[in-house]
Amino acid sequence: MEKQFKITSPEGLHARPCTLLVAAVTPFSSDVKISYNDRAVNLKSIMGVMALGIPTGANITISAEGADAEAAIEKAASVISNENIGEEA
Amino acid sequence: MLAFLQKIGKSLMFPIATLPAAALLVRLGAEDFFNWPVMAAAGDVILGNLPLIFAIGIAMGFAFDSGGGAALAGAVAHIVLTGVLLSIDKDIKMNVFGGVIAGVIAGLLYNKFYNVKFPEWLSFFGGRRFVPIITAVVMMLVGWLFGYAWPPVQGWINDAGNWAIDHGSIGVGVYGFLNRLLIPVGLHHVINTVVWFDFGSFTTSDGTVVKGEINRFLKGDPTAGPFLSGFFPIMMFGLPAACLAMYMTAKKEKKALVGGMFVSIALTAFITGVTEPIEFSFMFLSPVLFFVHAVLTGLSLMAANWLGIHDGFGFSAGLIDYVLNFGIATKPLLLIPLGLVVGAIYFAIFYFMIIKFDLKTPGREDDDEDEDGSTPLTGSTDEVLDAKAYHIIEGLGGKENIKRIDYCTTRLRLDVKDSTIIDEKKLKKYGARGVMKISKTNAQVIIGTSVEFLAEAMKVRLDNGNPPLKSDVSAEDIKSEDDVLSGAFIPADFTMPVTGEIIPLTDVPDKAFSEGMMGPGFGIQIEDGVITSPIDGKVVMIFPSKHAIGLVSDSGLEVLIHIGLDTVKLDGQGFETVVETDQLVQRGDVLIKVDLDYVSANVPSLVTPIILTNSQGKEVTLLKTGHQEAGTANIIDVK
Repeated sequence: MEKQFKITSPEGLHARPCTLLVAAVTPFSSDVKISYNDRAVNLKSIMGVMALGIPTGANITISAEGADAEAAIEKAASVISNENIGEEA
Repeated sequence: MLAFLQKIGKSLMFPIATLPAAALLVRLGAEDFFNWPVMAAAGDVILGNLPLIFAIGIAMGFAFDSGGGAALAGAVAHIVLTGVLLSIDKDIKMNVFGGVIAGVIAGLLYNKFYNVKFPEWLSFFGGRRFVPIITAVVMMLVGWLFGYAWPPVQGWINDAGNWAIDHGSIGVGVYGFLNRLLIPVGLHHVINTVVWFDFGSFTTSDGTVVKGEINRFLKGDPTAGPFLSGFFPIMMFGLPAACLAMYMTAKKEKKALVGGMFVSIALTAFITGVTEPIEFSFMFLSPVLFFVHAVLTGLSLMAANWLGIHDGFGFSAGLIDYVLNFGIATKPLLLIPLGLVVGAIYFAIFYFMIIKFDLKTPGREDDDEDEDGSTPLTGSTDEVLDAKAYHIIEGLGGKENIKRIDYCTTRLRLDVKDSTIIDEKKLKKYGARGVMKISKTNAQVIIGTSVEFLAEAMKVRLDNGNPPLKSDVSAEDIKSEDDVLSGAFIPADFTMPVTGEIIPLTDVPDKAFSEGMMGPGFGIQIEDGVITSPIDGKVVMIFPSKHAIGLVSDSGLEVLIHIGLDTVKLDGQGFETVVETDQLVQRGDVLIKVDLDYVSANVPSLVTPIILTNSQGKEVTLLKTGHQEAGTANIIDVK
């Protein structure tokens, strides 16, 4: 399953927001991916996510596969809105 | 554990080759045969120094390149061990066991320290020369330990010998069992001394009193021999039959190779009664067979005792002693049928067990279970390494193109005549993970942590003019090499990326970093605008606003360098990137140039966090603090 978001944090998906997001989904057993501009990377890797260079205003997709996929996406969504990283698209 | 024992077993093949000759010399030179002391002494001194010979042989076998430096370390290890033991208690004897321990320790130390580097004024003692030095120190401690641990063990064995003497037929059997079982640890001499040279007393016709089974038997005591007779069937029939079984179960292509060895060691046992060559040839390779051998020896002694046979030997239970003592023995002829039965049992059990449990007797060993070992018998790991070295040299443009080979933790560092003729595709086909042409005469090939073995193999090949391959190792074999890079952090391989002052991560004034959520790390209050790579590796990420760069080292360590705090807001102003994503870099390569004046005027802080983003759960320790120049090594450790 997957969900779309629009990044609103002014510096894009950089160090702080990136770290928060990675930390949020890492405990889940599912494979969680983030994709931007047709490139998908593991959302549990800080370096991988930062390598996407996601700027503010970008549309991203978070997808998950596995036993707790739904909960993982739920968690990611709540972090994104609570920490003012972005909003559901 | 079993693989480790197998390695000992394989390493012993070399020294064992000298034993049949030694056994023949000592037996034929003895008083009761040719009576030529020169000959006897020549053989005797070899058998007497078996522990030393084993120490040297095993150290060589364990050394990744079978180097002579390892052999010297093995010799040093053993003489230090025996010397230390003597200084503590002159009755301590570790025999062959001491030799095995010394050899293993020396070999392992050789692999660890053969390329150790020291400051220039100490460099004479660096590299291979350091190995015997460290070996001496380690063995001193090991000897000290055994000096106090071993006497109680010797005491127990002594007690066991005394127990055996007093317990009739069962005692005879237990003695036979222990006599063989204790060979690997060298304690069979203790139990033999009790039984052979101390048990019972007999007054000869001229009135002298002799003690011990052997002395009493040779002086004509008709009751002597229960602890001796049963060895004849084992040594003349049982073990040679075991050799036959091992030969018949050897791999087809190895039969010729091991056949010659089995014939000579079987004949040695049959004629002289020296069985160590056979026993050491399979004791470490298949400990379970050795246990069976010990049980059968006990049973053979019991059987001979039960049949009322009284035979003995002055040397050992081989054909020569059998013939010489035929006249003074009781029922010696019965030993022949008993021997044939024992031989049949040995053959059947060995053959069955080897096939059924796929035991690794000589000629059946796995060829590739050890990554860094080499053996005189098989050596196919060497062949793969050698083939890889050959192809890498060819890929680098052949021996003429290579001026110098050096290496660091993961990379070959090469001085070449012309780096443009380096064939990257070919190098990658034969195990290189990446190739970096630094200049016209300088190149690096990323291999992984096994690079030291490859580099040494290449040096050997270059010294010999890179001869064509003899073995037919295919490319697939080479590629199957480990793909996992070691994650161990080496402080010497991580350098200060920029001149400045090192501070703990917790002092970085930005919670995103200081709380360690992104991973462990440290901060630098930068004093210069040239940011260089702290590691040998690859650029994996450059943030669009150029103020952060991600690297991954050859050994898998991820490093994020975030220049200044809140610098994302500058949107690239004041930063100039010199490298591109996916570019290979080495320590000291410039990554980004920063206009310090501009940046410092527009952001709150120039503190630059360096984060190891895939080292979650580990801790960074600062080895240096305060002002450090870019390029300084050993600044942090990660555990």
